[in-house]
Amino acid sequence: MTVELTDNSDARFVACLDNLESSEVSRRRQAIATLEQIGGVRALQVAAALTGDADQIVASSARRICSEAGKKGLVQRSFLKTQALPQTVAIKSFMQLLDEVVFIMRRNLAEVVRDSFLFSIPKFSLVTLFFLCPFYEPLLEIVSQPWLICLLIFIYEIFWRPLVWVSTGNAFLAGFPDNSVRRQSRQFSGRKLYRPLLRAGLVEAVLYALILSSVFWWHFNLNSIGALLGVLGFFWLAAWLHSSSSVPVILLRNKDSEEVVWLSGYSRNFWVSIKLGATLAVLYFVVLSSIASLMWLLGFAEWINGPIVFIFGYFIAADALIDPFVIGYRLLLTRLSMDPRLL
Amino acid sequence: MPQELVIHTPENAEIRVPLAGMFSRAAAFVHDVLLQMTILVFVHIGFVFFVENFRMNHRGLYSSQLFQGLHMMVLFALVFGYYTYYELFADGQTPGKKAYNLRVVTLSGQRVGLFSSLLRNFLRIADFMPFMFMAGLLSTLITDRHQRIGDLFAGTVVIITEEVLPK
Repeated sequence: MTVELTDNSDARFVACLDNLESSEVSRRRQAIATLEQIGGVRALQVAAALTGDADQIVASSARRICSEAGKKGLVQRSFLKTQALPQTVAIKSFMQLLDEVVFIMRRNLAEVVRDSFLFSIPKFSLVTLFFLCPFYEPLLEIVSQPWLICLLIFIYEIFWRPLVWVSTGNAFLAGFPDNSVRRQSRQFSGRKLYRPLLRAGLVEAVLYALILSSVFWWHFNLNSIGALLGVLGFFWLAAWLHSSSSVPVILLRNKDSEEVVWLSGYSRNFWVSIKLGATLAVLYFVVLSSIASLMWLLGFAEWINGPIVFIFGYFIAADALIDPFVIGYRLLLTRLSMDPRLL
Repeated sequence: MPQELVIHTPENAEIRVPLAGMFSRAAAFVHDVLLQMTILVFVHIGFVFFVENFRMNHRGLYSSQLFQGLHMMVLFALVFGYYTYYELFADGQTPGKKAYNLRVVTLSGQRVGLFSSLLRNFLRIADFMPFMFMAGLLSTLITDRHQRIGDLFAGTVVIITEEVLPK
């Protein structure tokens, strides 16, 4: 029997809801019976929430309402397809910007983690090499050579880094809230973009590698103050370099770009970079100290008090873990700068 | 993964509230810790003056270390009670959370109760493991509702109180 929607008078429906919320068994049973008579979408929505009710009579009536509604072609909200992601997000502060990077990463977390792990294998291999040093003395002599570490850093930053951008960057783009960027990530060609990315990121990569190498070199050859200055300089300059958007722009446009792109205005991005530098310094501290504590808890205390080369092992491991966040941040900031409507 | 807490009312209506991200929460936490440290410094100074005065007049009672124990209890209450006090009496907002427009609520959007608040705040120790809240960070990253370990056990979430509509 089809119950006309005009029968669902608001007054009866509201009275039904009131009775269902009461603690009296008789009122609730009467209300569910009335609800069955009313029928329609509203009754279905209420009944769906009562199918697991403690009162068996109410629960069975609710199930009957759902079943009847199903026969008439009505579907519950939970059976509908997942709602589309909201395409606009209001970002009012730097912290919200960082939160949004994490939200985007979470939408495609499995792929971001998988890709960043795969393309961090060179870093993890180096870390393993460092940690094997106490067991093989000749290995310690080899990795203690600053020139070797510096060479590896240059090779990684110049030739391997574009691959990291293509893989992790693409996985990050697939989690963006706006459809256009997600669509773009599906049409990606890593082979086509490798050379443009290598060219666009060359200056940045050489500078980055120079700073990183200086830190290693200082640590091996100079005093600890030099190392400290090197680390501080590394964070500052590395953060400042992030205001260059040539590499993220290529990924976002999915085509080669000859121009060197800078975010709008040095002074504005200087402060944003300082904030990012401070955030990264905190993140590195959290990850480094957590790795060290975890090793201590697992009974590998001698690895913490081991050769100084271990510090670099921890540092590289932390770098591999934080890298997807940095890539995501740069992509999001560039995306926001490219389209002022999004700011 | 949702960015919102979806609350179903008994009438089967749906209310969506934005969830707070880990960086906003971390910033609010740092704000609270700085405030706590300031309070602790003042409490400590006050306690030293009080004990010194007491030591001069009641030497016997002082040697029983009653006040040292009392001092520890006050410190403990300040460190752990701070969050519970604000969550219960300031509608789920510590000063840090208020500064960043955040609020602690239960999964059904209700105000946090005493047990939930105590549980989520005692479990900060678990979130701190192995060091510097790494477990809490990971938990926030992978759980559906951005919950740290304390939130998971207490059935609470941190939401953004100010809904900002896009221009």
